[in-house]
Amino acid sequence: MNDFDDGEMLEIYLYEQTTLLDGLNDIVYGAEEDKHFSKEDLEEIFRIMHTVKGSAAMMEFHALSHTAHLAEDLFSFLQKEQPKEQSEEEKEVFNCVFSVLDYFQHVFESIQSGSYENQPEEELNARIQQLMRRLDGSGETAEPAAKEGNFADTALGNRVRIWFKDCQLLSVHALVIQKKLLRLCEQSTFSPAELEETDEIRRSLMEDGMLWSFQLPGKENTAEAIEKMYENALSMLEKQMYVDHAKREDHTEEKSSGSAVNKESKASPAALSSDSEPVDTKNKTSERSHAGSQRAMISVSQTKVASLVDTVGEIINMLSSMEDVYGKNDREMMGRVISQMKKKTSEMREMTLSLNLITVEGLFQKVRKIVREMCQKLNKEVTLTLEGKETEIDKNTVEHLSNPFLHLIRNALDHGIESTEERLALGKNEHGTILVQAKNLGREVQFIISDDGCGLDKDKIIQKAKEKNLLSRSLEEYSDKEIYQLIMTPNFSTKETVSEYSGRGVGMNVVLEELEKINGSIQIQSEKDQGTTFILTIPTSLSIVEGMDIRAGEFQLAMQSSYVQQIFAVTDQTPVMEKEGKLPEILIKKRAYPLIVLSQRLQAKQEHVPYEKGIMILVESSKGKYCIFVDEIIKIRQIVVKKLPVFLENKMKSSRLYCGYTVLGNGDISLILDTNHLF
Amino acid sequence: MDTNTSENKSVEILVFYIGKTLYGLRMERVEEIIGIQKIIPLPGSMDEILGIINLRNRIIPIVDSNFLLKEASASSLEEEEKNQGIVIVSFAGERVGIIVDDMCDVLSVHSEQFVSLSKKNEKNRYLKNFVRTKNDSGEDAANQLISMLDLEEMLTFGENV
Repeated sequence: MNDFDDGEMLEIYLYEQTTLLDGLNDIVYGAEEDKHFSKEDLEEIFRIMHTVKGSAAMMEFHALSHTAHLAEDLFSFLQKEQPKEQSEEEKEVFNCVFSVLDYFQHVFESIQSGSYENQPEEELNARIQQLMRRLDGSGETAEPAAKEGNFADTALGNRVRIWFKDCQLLSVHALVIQKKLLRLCEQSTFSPAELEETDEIRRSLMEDGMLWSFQLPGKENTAEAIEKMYENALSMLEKQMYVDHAKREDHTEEKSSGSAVNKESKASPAALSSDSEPVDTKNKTSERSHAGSQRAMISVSQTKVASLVDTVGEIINMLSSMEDVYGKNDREMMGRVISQMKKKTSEMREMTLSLNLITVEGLFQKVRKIVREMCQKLNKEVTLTLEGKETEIDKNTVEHLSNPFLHLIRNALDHGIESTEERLALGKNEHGTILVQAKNLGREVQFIISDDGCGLDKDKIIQKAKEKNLLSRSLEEYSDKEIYQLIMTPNFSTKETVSEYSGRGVGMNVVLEELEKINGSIQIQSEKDQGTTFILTIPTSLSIVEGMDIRAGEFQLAMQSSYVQQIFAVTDQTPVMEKEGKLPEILIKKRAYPLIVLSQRLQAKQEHVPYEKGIMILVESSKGKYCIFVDEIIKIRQIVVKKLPVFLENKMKSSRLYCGYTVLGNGDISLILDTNHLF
Repeated sequence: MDTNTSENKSVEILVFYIGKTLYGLRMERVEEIIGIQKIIPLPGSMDEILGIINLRNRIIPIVDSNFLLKEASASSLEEEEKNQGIVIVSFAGERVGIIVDDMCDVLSVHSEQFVSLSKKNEKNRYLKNFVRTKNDSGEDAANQLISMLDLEEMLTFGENV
């Protein structure tokens, strides 16, 4: 395995394991919703535990391997003797599995941070063993399935022959395959068994392929299980980059499945897939892309890669036709090729950006976990509905989303949903409901988090806002929406408010700040005793937004269009009312909005043009609508947003003025105005 | 105390002028040295920030070192032939540019050449220590002192105040 260094190996290991863990999480939480493990669930969990055990052993994480082994035994046992639905035993199984999940999560995190200590988790291990004894009823530990050693008469009689593609280090790839197969089935033998990169072995691998023979342990050696193993193995092999095809070698007949795989693997652009694909074979789990905070790898769907490769191919073709045209010195033709090229490269850009998109699945998993934990702690019963888990969002965005998300969920559970008694008294269903919904709106993704709890207390918010002097207009001018928005003002809520009022204000400004970092926004709807809904809008891809180049005094800046409500010109000075010591205001349809003259705000040396010569831009910010006056709109275009160095963020005089920068075509830099903080 | 003063090892330092004073920086902190180029102003930033430059499509903040170190401003030297440059240093995982008025030399200095600060005060708050230069014969040159910059102190100006 010389072409891997340890770090890479570990990275692949962690990636595979977290992928498995995600799958496991899904099954377990799914089962919890049904309040019961189905037969398929048990099988799948067993299989995952088995893989975790095997991989951990391979990486020499023995403590992890041991716990996984015990869990594997437990599920092997459960497969045979399913506990009664909703019995005490099954509840304990659930609790036990959740502890195992937490433990795995913890281990993978500590492996990642390098702090993993190979210490056996005695308490958890004992708990699993105890549960197993309880299930067994006889006081004895069930016979661990994996330890079965009885060979049937037809020793290692199930065979698959694997042919490889011609590649370098063939034996290494063969070895990787061997390892993966061993993980599927411990009792495996291979021919050739010794893999060295010699000409002889290479020739034999190329000509005769590699023969894998396997045997299932005594108890499991049923025709059904063997069939399943074939299926798993073949579908895994099919995904391997260097496997040309794999075929069963039955004693009796050649099953059609073998040749089907053969065809498929030849037809699919298998060369695109990485050979470090998870061993996971069920489509259900392997097709998902996975969210996660520190994961350095993301899985990308085959179709995306295939279309990207196609596009790159086309661009290369265009290049060669460009060379032709260049030779002929045909300007017209050249122009045509260039415009084609432009189209293709912009297509390619879109595709490349979409590679960075992952589903919100991982985020949803965290939500499930926290709801489960909090319900237990608070003794509340809540029905959680998650919709749109396949919605894709920029990987970098997800990292910023999880804290605001969990904060809102926690608030909803803690302060929103009432206790069972209160709910019954109000004539509500005794179970609270929390709905989390993700929707793709093209360039934006919308998340809706709503609960059917007590709602926000408008009067209390107004009172608080008055105390803190937050109202800049008379109360009648505020819409409900704007009043709720006040809870996101920094320091709006102090500790007392938590216990005294419904207490949604805690840290809401932190939620807003975090969302603004990713150009997101939040809206609140609430109805007393009906519940509260938060609507989070986040750009799908962080990097490209609709925007415009503007000029204010001597400065040229960029601005995002997404917050712009209206762009208009005034014919004379009349709508603008200058105010002593305060921002001027502008009247639009009989409503006054604060007006920011951008060149003044930026302290430009150049005097701004008269109002009737410039442009007014009405924008919506988290603090309400206001108007920006710029000297000129230069161009409307798509802007590629890049992050400002942290150093600069710390060196601003007062508030944040920019949310990033963009590089113009001529290499100049343009700063992107953060319209949420101008005012 | 500077740990390197106790070791009998030599370190490389970059020496340059800011205003009329000779300053030094450990070479290991220097990423590259580039000529002066178009600096885009950053409205709303602190006065110590001159602006940003675009270096290979990445932006690098430029610190007005004359202002920060209270040295005669570079613009007062306008009439003379200026030899300004930008020293790009690594700071907290990012790159920051420092304007220097004249590039001088790269010196290899020994630990015994370091002279520690007598006492931190407002005037030397951005300094780590001094280096006493030697001429070729190994004797002390005419009391030339190089002020070694303390980048951590210097580039966190305006923060936690």
